[in-house]
Amino acid sequence: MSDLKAIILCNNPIALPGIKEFLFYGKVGALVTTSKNAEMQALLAQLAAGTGVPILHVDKKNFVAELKSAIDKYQITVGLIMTFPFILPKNILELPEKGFINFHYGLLPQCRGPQPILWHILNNNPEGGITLHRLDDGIDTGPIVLQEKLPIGATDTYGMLQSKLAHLGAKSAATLLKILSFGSFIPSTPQDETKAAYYKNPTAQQLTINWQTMDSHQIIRTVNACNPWNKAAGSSISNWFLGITEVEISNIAASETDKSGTIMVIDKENGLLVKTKDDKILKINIIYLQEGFLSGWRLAEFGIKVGDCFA
Amino acid sequence: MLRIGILTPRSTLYPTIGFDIINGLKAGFAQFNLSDVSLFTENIGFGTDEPEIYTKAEKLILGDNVDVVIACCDSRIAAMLQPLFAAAGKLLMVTNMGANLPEDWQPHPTTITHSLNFCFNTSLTGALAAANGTGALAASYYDAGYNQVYTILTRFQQKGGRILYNHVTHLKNEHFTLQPLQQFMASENGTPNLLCLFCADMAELFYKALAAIQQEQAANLFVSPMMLEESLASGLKQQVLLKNVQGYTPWLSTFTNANNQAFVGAYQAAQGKSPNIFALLGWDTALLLDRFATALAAHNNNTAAAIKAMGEAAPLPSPRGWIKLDPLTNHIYGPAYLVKASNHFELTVEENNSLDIDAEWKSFKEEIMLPSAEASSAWRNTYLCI
Repeated sequence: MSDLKAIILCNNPIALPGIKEFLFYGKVGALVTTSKNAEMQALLAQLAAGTGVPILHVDKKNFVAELKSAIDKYQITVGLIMTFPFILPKNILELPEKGFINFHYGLLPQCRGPQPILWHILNNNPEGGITLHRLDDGIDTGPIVLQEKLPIGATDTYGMLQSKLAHLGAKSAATLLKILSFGSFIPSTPQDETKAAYYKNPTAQQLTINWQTMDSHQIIRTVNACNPWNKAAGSSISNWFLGITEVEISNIAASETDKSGTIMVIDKENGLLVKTKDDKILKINIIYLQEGFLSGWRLAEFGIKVGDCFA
Repeated sequence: MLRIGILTPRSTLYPTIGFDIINGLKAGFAQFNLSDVSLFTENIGFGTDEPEIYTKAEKLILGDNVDVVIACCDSRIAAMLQPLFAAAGKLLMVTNMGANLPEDWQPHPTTITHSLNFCFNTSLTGALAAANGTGALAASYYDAGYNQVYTILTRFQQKGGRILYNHVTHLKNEHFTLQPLQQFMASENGTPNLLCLFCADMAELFYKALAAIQQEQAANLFVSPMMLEESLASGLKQQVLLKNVQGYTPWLSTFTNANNQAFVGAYQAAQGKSPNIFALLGWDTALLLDRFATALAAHNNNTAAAIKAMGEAAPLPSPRGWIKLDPLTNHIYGPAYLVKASNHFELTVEENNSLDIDAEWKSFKEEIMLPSAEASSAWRNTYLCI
């Protein structure tokens, strides 16, 4: 493992366990994050304290020059991207001897784009995962080096899945480190373009619950997909737009005659119970309002009552 | 022609392990008419030197152009090798005793994990022991490094058992003692139940020491598969009066099914001696490769498609009774037999103890996972160095 030196570009704490693996073995030449991300700067400083590894803070204007300089100065042999907002130009990709490898925190080729964790949940995928692939001049299109999957549980929020993927990232980083260190080449497999799909950042509408068209499962997934980064999934009632942060299926039987979105119960003892399109009852545990995060039943304090209907 | 690479292991406790596996493999090739194969062997020592293993696997694929590599290693090593095999489109057949759990059960498209399911068997033994309520764990320092301890204890506790005492013996035989365990046994009101995990000479040492204790204090012994290894009998038959020894194991050479008779007969004819459990692993590997070769030919040399087809096919006729490729994990599994040892270590299968193995295997996968996404143990045992 003596000759390997990585430059690691990151912008999200999900990268930290993976970075730790490389730091532990002394294989990091430099760490890079953006000049606007004070949280990451602090976390990296803490992580790399005492290692002597330099931490570069770059912006959109200077990052290419900074990277070129760092690759040369620190004798970098491989570049690792673990969430980074700027697209690397092609002339950078070939500078390290082993090229660049991207840690995509989703499954490829079926979930390309900047928010794979979110889309795996919204798309009701049974599993998510992490894909390490060689960087080429497309977005998330390079050949796959390795992929690890994990099941997405019914109660998994975005944050929970992100934490699990961070740990999976450490495992993948450990495997990658061995491949980079022991192998004479980096094995990789081209992506199957027939299975490829690209997902952009979501629109507000995609993060809003439509009680008339979504079934209970879709509602739960939408809520979970927004928690915690968006605070809540949007929903409206009586021309009032609010957020739903946490919800669960109730085992209470629903009446077929009531309209989807109808509030069946709203009190402290039983909570806030709402009927869904598939004749289930959802218990809304936590709501998000301008006034704060509150228990669902406290909507009653704002005049919401049994029989009112979410749109 | 199938070109087969083998990363063969070394073992201090079982010095012939590599030979036994290869001899079983060759006997299987002859039996299944797989004469058109080329073997390329690389020694990987105790299976822990990762750079060496990776380099040798790369050589087998790039230099020897093999279709398959039989790698006697654990799941951590397999994780390192899988990208190489996926990129090359070659089969990685991870082969071991199954004494460790995989870090996860996710199937890898070009990997088959072929083991003797020791963890599965010990989990069943743990469930069996739980019917007696409470018990103590007795394991060698060496065996305690394997996940079999975790599986026997987890199932024991899941089924309502409660561990009252743990006794782990010293690494060196000269420091071996059961005295603290004996004190615990003496303090028990009823017959104490011991969940036991020992292998090789440590198993013999334990049995002999316990037999001396059992003259005064009987105990029920729920033992790991390696404690039912028939080679132990030669050291135990003449000297030891053992009581109440039982446990689940995947195989005994004395099985009377036709598949086993064919195996034992072919092996004896070729090697002039009876096969052991490592030879069985080799034989079953040949059986799987025979099926793989057929599937590969039927799927235009697409390894992933061939493995998928194997997962959908009927069970294979193993000396164990049968073996199956679980398509949800790409792991091989087979029956587990409740075996009891007589006073002089004569092993007999409890015929009236048939389990629904498919259901048990499903439950095992779902309920006895290692804690995931947490810091993992630093143990590096592979059961190859036994």
